Amino acid sequence: MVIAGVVIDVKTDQAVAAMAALEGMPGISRLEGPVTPGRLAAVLEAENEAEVTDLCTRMLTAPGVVNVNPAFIHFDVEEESRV
Amino acid sequence: MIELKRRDFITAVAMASAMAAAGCSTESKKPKNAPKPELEGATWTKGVCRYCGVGCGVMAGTKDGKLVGVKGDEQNPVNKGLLCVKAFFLHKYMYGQDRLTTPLIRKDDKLVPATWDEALDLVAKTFKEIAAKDGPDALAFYGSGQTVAEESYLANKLYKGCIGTNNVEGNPRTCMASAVAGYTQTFGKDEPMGTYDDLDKADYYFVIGANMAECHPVLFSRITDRKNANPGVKLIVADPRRHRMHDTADISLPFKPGTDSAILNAMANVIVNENLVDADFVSKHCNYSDGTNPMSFEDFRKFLAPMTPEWAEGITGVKADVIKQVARMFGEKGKNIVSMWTMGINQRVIGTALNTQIHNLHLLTGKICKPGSTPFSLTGQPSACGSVREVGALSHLLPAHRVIANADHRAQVAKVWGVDAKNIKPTNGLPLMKMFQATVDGTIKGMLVMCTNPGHSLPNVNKYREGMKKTFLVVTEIYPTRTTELADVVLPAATWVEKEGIFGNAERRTQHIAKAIDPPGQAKPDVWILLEIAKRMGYGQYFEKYKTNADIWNEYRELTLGTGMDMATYDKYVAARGLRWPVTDKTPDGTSMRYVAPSDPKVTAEEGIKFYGKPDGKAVIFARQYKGPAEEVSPDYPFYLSTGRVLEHWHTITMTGRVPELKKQVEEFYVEVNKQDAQKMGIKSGDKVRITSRRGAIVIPARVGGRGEPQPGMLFSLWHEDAVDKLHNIVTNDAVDPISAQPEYKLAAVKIEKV
Repeated sequence: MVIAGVVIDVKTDQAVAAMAALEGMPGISRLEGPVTPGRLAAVLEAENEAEVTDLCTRMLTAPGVVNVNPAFIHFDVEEESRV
Repeated sequence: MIELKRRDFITAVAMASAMAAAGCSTESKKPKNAPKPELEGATWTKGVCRYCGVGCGVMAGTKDGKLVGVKGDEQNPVNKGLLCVKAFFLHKYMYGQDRLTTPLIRKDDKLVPATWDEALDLVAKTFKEIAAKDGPDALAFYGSGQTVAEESYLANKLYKGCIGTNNVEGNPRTCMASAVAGYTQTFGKDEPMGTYDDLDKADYYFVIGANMAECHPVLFSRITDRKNANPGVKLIVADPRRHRMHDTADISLPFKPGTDSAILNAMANVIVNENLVDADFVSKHCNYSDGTNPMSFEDFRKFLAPMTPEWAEGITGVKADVIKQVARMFGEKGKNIVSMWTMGINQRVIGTALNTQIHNLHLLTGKICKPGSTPFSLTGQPSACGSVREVGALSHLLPAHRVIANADHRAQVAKVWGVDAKNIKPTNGLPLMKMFQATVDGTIKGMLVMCTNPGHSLPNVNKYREGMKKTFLVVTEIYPTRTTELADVVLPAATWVEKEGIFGNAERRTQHIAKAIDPPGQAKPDVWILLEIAKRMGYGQYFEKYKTNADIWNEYRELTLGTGMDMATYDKYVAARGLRWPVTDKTPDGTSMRYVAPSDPKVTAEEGIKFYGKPDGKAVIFARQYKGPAEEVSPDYPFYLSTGRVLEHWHTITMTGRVPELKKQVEEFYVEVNKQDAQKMGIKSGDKVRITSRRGAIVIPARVGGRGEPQPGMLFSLWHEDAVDKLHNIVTNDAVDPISAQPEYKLAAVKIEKV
């Protein structure tokens, strides 16, 4: 399991359309935005790193999306409890 | 006590990091009792990205002696936590199966393992024999904008100060030498006056010959961010190929390949003839020159008179009205404009002239030396500025922008190096292409290549590969490359956070990378390798005082003081998220804008603005005649080929090619063909095509309608390809700019055939 935090730059006048398209995209577990004008934040969860890059590329096809940049990635996440 | 699953914690941290990087306060979004990353078991170490010249701050997460993750450094003002996809996978490039971990020596035409003593003794003995028999100029060093500054500094001292040859070059000669020459001609000193801060204050961006969306994505994000928040902000993109920036651009200037000089002169024509010149600024701070002699404003106006927008339209194909519109935006009162450019301008036989033509637009309109207005050269490597331009690791330079031709400069450097000033020859060494021509001619017989891959990256590469084969070639590297296969000795090097050191990015920001892990096997930092070679060649007395990187840096720093490129002590960089030089007592936090008081400590309040690189403190507006490429298209070679790269890969893919996730994104390195041209020739995506120039031919896949589209009559190829018979540089042109000596990678006349 890989978890990544990414910033998505979108055209402001297409932010709603971009959000709608991204919300339905498998692999995006959380989507917030616009957190600043034209910027969305998302958490991606994927089986492996290749799926993360696939997803980043696929996000570029959503309407209004002009750029996807990662801010955080964590590899080898395993389910475990923490107290 | 609250029970949360680890996955929830990491998800929360991921979202918090993304929101912080997006510019949003995260305090209210952070989950209560969220752990600090260190509590997840990883240790986070401050570093700088290993790839392009933006200089993004990176936190490297290590656990059990291995890198386990990477995140953007939210405290670093360069990227504020953002990264591009390459940096996302930084930790993975280091763990390729074929990592070099032991020295190799060529025996019976095969590279075989050796001890460090065997390898280093062989290097030192052979270099000494060559110098004794053929003179010191039979030796050469070819370094990199990816070494840390301390490494380039040592190599410079060893070759220029001890061995006695100025044959020291670096691969920034192939990417930014024209920017160096341009800044130096216009302002008397290299490197930009502005910084990334200007991006956040600009009203207009003029980007020419650069694809920031793929090559400088984090800076491009800064542009889109500002555009989104400010509807009046406009992006102008001038490029012969349509690419991802055009999705965001407000105005496009799709000029015919190699004709941008005409656009820039026509814009100057409009500025001059429509009274958009800031006469007060120009009279106080500028001179005019035809390149040889001074000229007046009237002379300059006459020079430009025939270069109207309509004239330029005929040459470039860009509508005259669009050229006028952009020129008027430059001249618009109260609006700030930042120009940015990179290889499309620099990798040209008229690269120096083009750089000065861009400067002209800013000087004429006074859109310079004020927040949000500056000409800004983007760079392609993480420390091309810090480790080569500033350290002076080129064949005509000495540290801190000094030049070999100046006797005072040689004496100043010799004194700090502790060598006799006579050791430093007064004549320049061989610039890049002449240096490698000398390997072909057999006059250079021994060469040390450090952290770069000329066997892949030189233009007209097959010619120079033959030269390298004839030379006693020593290569320090982390993986087998197209250069190590030609080497006589290969020395396994440490990389990135396996060592510490200093990088200098495109905005004069000097940053420290901390060591986080040990290098694998017997790999060693290049500092260690250089010190060992120096010692074994008999120059140990000049190097024995260096016990740490800080020792080397602090000696180098002495040479920067008072030059306007003043650096801080090493410990300051260890603590800071970079400092932009000059760093002085007056400006302990660095300088945001050069040549302007009070930001620049070398300029007084009375002077206000002073281009102190010039004797009279005035910058120069140059009259540049229109000139096309070195090689024009012809019936035999009817297409212009340009080369470039994609977001996911970097240069010769020695690193990104080892990251499966990146390789998967772009698995083949194709040539883009314009849709109309493809239709005429019956070429479809995936078809194999032969690209032939006067220098050679390659067969590679075609791509029609991909990420970019060259205009009709133009091809664009991804030069990452590393198969030896498909190296795109087999066909590129090795003609150079006569001033900067930078090759014209961007324009080769070729033909294309479906095979």
